[in-house]
Amino acid sequence: MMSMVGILLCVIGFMLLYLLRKRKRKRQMDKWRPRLDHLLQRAIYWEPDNGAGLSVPIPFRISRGMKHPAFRQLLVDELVKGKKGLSGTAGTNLVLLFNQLRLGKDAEQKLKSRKWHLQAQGIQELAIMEQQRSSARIYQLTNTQQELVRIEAQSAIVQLHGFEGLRFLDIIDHPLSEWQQIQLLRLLARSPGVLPEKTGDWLTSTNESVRIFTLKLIAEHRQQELHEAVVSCLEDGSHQVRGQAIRCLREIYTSTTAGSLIRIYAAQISSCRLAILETLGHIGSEEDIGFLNRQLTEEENRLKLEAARALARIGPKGIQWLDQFPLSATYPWNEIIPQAKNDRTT
Amino acid sequence: MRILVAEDEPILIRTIELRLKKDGHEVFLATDGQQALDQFTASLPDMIITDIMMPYASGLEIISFVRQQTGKRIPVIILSSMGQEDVVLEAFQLGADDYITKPFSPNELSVRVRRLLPA
Repeated sequence: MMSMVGILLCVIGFMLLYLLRKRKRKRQMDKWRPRLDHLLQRAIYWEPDNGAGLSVPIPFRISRGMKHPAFRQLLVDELVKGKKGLSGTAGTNLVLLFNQLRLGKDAEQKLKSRKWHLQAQGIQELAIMEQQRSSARIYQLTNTQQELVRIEAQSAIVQLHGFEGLRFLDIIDHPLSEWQQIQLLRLLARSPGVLPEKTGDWLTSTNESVRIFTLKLIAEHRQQELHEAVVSCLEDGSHQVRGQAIRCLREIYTSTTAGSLIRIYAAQISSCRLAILETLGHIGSEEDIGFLNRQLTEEENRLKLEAARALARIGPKGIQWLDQFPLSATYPWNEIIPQAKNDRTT
Repeated sequence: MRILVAEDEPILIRTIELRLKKDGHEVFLATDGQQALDQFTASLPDMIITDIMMPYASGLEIISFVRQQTGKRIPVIILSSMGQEDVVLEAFQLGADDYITKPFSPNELSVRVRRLLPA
């Protein structure tokens, strides 16, 4: 009984201590916030004299607060939020204030932490505050075991260096997730510059996801000069790479592309066949009508439909073939052919 | 000019407030959607600058409310993030007059506000 009471008192005591500590921390934060807000607004609207760079006068209370790690973290959090929302001189001034107060050291320290969430946080802070001098350390983390840290490091390198940052594709063994590929494409869409010359080399990477991502990059940025390298990917051992290569060719096709696709068609699995028919619907010509017509008797209905759509898209001659198809009045063609014609007009 | 600013990020709302005050405007602040709707009814502003994503009521709901409640044409500028192009289009359909993408420059916002001021 006595020991139960003792345990209960300990728990209550611990809870009280925790609540008191939390309250004290909150009060301290509430006290710091207006000071930081004042400093940040001063920095945002700071106009350096004679182009001498930013050197915002730092009040004593701020300098004193800088001794507290929690104060510095609060300041970094506010700077990061501000930099995310502000551009132009206001955004630049926030970066200069970050540098003036040497807050990059705190963020770099986080990269050395064993806790992955702190590493990820440090990477984000350094990238948003444009700390290019930390690139070497962040670059090492682009192939680290911990997924979240790896993703943050890859995004950060691209944020800091744009297309040149993609050199991490040379070294990564881990797969780039579908989501990460979208993220990187989005970041690159905002970056000035062009794809590096070595882009073609990544098509032969041993990492399947790197080959797929490179094909997406080539399509997105219409790298016509890589057409032949992409055609080579049609022989890739991975059907996902072949499928992506087929979709990529739709964006960078030449007069020989349709022929290349038709040549490999018979050896493909269903999803790649579908991609080929979809692509031919966009890049095909009257020369391909014979091939497409033969695919109307494919085993799978979705392939029959895609072949019919491609014929309809090619133009009046393709539609004429659809109308003259001997089985057009029988199921399923009596449903597929009108739908394909209708899809062309919608 | 009386301007209502609705934005849930404290550093951004303060930055906008200072810039607009410097330009000589009277500024009303709201840090969530519901506050913005209340503030609109109470202060009857001449212009609204609103973030799209906010707690309790979105920027789109604010535009709909404003367009339904008043016969007067009040200019609305929306603050959007990268990748919200679809929402921006929806905002224009609802009657927004201009938009600015984050990260934005306070100076640019000031120019956009001036452009929408009645001559």
